[in-house]
Amino acid sequence: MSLLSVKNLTIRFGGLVAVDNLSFEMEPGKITSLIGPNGAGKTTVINMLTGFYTPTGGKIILHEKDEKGNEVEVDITGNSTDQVVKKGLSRTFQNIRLFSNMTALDNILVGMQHRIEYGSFLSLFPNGKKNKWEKQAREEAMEILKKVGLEDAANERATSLPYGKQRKLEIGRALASHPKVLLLDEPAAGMNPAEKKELSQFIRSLLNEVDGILLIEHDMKLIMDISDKIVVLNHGAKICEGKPEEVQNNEEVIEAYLGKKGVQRNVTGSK
Amino acid sequence: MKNTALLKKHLLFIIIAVSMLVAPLFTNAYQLRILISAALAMIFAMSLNLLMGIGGTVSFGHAAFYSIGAYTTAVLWYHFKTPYSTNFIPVILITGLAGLLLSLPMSRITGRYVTIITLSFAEIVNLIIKNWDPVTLGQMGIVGIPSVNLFGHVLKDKREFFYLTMLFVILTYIIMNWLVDSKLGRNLRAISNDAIAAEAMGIKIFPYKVIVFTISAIFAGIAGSLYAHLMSYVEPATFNANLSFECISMVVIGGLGNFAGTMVGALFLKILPEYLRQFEFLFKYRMIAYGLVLVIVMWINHSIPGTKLKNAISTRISALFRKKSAEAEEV
Repeated sequence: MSLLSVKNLTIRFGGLVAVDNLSFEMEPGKITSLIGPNGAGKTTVINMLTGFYTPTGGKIILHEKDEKGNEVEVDITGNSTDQVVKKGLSRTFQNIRLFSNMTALDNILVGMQHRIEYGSFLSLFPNGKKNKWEKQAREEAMEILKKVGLEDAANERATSLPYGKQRKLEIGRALASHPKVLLLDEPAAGMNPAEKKELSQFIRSLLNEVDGILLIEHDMKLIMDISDKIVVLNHGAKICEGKPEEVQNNEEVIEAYLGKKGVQRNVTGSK
Repeated sequence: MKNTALLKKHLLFIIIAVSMLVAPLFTNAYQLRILISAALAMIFAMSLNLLMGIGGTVSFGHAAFYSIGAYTTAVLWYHFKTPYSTNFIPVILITGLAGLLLSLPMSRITGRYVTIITLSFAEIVNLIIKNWDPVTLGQMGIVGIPSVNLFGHVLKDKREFFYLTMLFVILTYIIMNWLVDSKLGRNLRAISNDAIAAEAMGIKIFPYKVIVFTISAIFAGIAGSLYAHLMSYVEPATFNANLSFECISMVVIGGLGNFAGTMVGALFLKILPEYLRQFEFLFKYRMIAYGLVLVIVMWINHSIPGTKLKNAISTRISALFRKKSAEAEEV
């Protein structure tokens, strides 16, 4: 049984087909990576999964278990962002998008907001329900900060944190909504090799918190190290899918990244 | 420990509130009147700060809600001779409704278009008041509104009126703080910080815009209704764009999202012109001075709640050099 199925997903912006008939499956407990040259449509896929774009065609299906343990399919195609979050998808952004003027703790609390069940009216004055939820949420937020190694920075402004910690805070914020599927959009961008190494272990450890991770990344070493499955996109279409070693040796992938000449030279070189 | 932190956070508010409360012991009638108008401005400006500092929406037409509050109570008194305490609920309902109405276009527009819409909304409200003669008496205005009548007790003494206003100031401050420290306030700040990230966290933006506009309008309306009873007359010319701009200046001087700061801003901008009256030239051109102050304060970017002015200035100045140092780091 898979965790999330993407079936024939297509989106057109006017005449441009940004994602073309893309299908793949995410397995539970695994890291699925989406790679491809710049402009291949990777972020567009995440934007469709999280409800920022409405696909022109195709389906996004989340597989869940009901109370009896039977598998049910939840169609989240074209759902709004808030519905998607409630159903268990949470994302980070390519260029960090933290709530810059808010503290690290507040950032986590906003990530948690759909689980804090008191409304806007009860926000206006102190009452038992509000106090109970706020206390509980703050405790839980501190735990999440601890998980991402930021417990000392709880009351610091998000943008005053060093870059690597901002990345972690953003991931922590995504975790705060208790997602089933975590979507990470280039988490290693702008990091040095040491930070990247630490990050890859950190991402692995996240599998204890969520059912599955969809990772977009340009750093091939990181991708090959931690992915269980790789889906390669080029010009919006899937050109290859498989385990890291399978993808590495796929001619079409090499062509997409290095161009045709690269393939030929490679072939002659091996002769 | 927790109490000292709380005290520290609200220290500025406590200082202003206490000194305002004891001030009538030392003031003459003229000075008391200035203090009352400053207190009204505090409520009005705090309501705008909720919209601007927390909700992230710059409204250039906040005077609309003030005038709706003032006219609601004036019109009700004129036509039905109802006292202030009876008019209070209609004031809240009608200004709240007006706020809700103005929030509706916000589902489709952002940025500078919001400014245009709020500005035109205030103009529309003003035109309606000017021309709806049977109800608002148009340009003539409504004259002879009695002082506040609280369940049969008429506040004849201006001191009593002042303390009623201060009660509303304190209530407004407390409610604003409750709001900011709640889920509602947090989500509003998140939206104004980064709407896209807020959406990704599952926040539906539009309902929050509706809520913040409505609450903000209600508080502005309360200030307006008190104003009508203070001045005993209302006329459309009072509620022009200058009133909105003055209010924005108060908020910006005090710091966006900083409610105690707003109170300082209101006090400053209400007392300064009275002081400047003796210098005819300065008084005449005070709006230019406001503009200058606004530009300077915005440049200092004193907009983060809790940021010390000194830190804000140093951040701002270091930002001037940041670009260079960032380039140096890259190399």
